[in-house]
Amino acid sequence: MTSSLNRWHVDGPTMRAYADGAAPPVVSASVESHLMVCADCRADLTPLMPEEPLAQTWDAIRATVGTPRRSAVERALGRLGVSEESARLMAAVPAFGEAWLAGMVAATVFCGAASMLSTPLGLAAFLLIAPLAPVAGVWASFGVEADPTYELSTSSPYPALRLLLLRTAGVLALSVPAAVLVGAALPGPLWLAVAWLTPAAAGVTLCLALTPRLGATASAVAVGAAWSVVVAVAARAQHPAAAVDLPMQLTLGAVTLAALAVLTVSHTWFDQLERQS
Amino acid sequence: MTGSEPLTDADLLSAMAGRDEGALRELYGRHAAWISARLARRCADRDAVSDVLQDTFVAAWNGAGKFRGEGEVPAWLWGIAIRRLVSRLRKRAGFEAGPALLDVDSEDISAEEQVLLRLDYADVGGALARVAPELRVVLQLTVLDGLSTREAAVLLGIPRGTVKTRLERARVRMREELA
Repeated sequence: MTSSLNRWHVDGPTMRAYADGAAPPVVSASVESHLMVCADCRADLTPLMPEEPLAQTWDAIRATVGTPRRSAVERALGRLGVSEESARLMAAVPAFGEAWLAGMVAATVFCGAASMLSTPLGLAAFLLIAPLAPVAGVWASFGVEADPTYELSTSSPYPALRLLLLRTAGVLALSVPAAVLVGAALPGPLWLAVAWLTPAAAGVTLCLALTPRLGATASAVAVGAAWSVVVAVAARAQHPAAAVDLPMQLTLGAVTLAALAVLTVSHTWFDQLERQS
Repeated sequence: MTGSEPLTDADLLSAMAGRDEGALRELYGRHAAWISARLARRCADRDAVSDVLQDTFVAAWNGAGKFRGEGEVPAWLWGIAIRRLVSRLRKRAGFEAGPALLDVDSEDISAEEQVLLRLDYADVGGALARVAPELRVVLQLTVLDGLSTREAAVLLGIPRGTVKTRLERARVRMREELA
């Protein structure tokens, strides 16, 4: 049957009319049946179809299949109303990788456990690690080499700053609840469980604001070092909670606002980064 | 691969099952144009055609491992495409039917086209040309596109019972024509 069909082929004018949607219905139906069994005629039709829409559709397909399949994180974000593209960009943050996730949770849990055993030192460890975990996550999400959506983010219409903020939000959404839970399990006043959120906010925004000047790694290290000094001083005075007491909260809040202001001013740098890459 | 023997469509699908994006690119190059043309005859909305085309190849990518080599790849792809079109219609109203779904008569088929049809589909083409347009549309969707009467009803925006009646009438007419 196939051989008899293959003796006949769609001629040029008919194929042209079919491609233009101008062939009469019965002719079109015949052409369509024939195309199903004839690779040669399918190849003949291809150059007759407008190139641009097909190329655009290909780009869309590539963007969809070029990234890992929608993960549980992406689906959850989607249900929260985050657009598919945003969800993909957020979920591709290295911080969401299993190793990172495990590492951050383990570090936080470890500090929580340590603080239950020996109070001042363990508490200091918790206060040191909990705010820095999001900073580390932000740093990781800025390292382009390790980023599976690097190509996507450079070719996406997202401004680099918005992408970074989006990812920061993703990192925070992941690390904050884990650390709050551990904090709540700590002995001592309940406010300690959330008191580290201000240093975390200050650390993240400071890290973002410094990145254009120092680079992502140096910024994260600087922020980490500064916070380590604060916690170490407080711990030395046998009162680690002083690192997050009211004056510190106000100071750190001011740092956050200042960093945000710098960030807003320097958004052009992120735009340039996007254009260069 | 020596490269002397071109890869078959089925080869491309098994490469796609192994997450080979190049194979998907090749499959798209071979099949996107005709699927797009065929969809455009069933749906006049270009954006919808693009969306369905995209969905089709993404589905082919995700489901490439399920292709077991039964039947031909073009038929498999078209089966995905036409069902994606139907399910899109289920979700949203305001469908612009393409020429293949309009049961207006095609006026005159030229002598040349008659010859062409005779050469290829012999009596079937001629018989198809002589059945009433609304019967032809139903025949096309069920016999050529392989849709169920329920799916054809969605595409045509008419009750399923009507599709069934028309299909029955079309069969009778075709039998008379081919007798």
